[in-house]
Amino acid sequence: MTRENLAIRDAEGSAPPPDSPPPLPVLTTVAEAWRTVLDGWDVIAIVGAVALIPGALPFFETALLRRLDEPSALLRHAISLALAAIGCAAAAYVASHWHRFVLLGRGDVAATLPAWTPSETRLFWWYAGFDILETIGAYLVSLPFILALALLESITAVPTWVWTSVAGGMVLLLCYLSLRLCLAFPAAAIGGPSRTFQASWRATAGNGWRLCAATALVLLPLLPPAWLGIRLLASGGLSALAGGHWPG
Amino acid sequence: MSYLSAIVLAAGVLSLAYRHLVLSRGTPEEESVDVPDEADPAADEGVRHLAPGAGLFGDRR
Repeated sequence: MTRENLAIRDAEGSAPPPDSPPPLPVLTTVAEAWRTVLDGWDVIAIVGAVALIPGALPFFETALLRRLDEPSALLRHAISLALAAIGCAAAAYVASHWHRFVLLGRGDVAATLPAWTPSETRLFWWYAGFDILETIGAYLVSLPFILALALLESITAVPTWVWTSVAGGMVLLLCYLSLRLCLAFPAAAIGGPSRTFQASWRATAGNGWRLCAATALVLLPLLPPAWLGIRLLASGGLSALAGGHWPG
Repeated sequence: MSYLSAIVLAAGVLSLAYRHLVLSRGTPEEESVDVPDEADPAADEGVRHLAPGAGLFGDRR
């Protein structure tokens, strides 16, 4: 699909047709997502350096706050906000290129790499809006459960497993609600139809859990290396960096 | 590295889901927009196989 075709379809309305959506093939989607990684390793190599920025930001923030002599709460919040914006921009840069690579092809990405284009700007604002929505949603979803459990706790002792189960359930529910909105991201990256969160919610109707399953399955193989990385960070020489003890 | 892989894989799933749930659900009028250009075999290939990375409907730039 070319950008011109997308513009024509977008002009016809951002809402998808009213018929029921086809079921998302979970395993095929997962296999294809991994295959695109193999196909686009060179694109990943170019945009990958930017993806390391969000991972380094917590260390940078800790080190910066240690160097500043008792910064005010306002300054601390300003630093956190600025670093969050940098992290958001880096994630938007990587994800936007990848959405375009998968949906529009190598040529579309190669034509602009490594520049920052309007696609990245659009995705950055979508991420920012999503973060706000997600934060509000997390409060709205968790508040009734926490209040109910706190009330119950005041009457009788609530076992730990109940708290754990409720927390796990809330995380699952939030993942589900979040993923229902996330189709707006590829749409924003390529300037395609269904760019709004509302349209994404409609487009994923009946496929929310399939989308959750596909996302969980595709990320499953990353758990062992992530766990190993966390163990290394916690026990090895990197723990000094985690504490903000940078040399010099 | 895991973070980069997570971003790319999650974005890949979302892109593929978007293609399946939104882009592939065209009305007859919309499908007529996407008729491949006969002068461009690569575009036709893209339409038939929907190959990721090769361009969903062919790259006609």
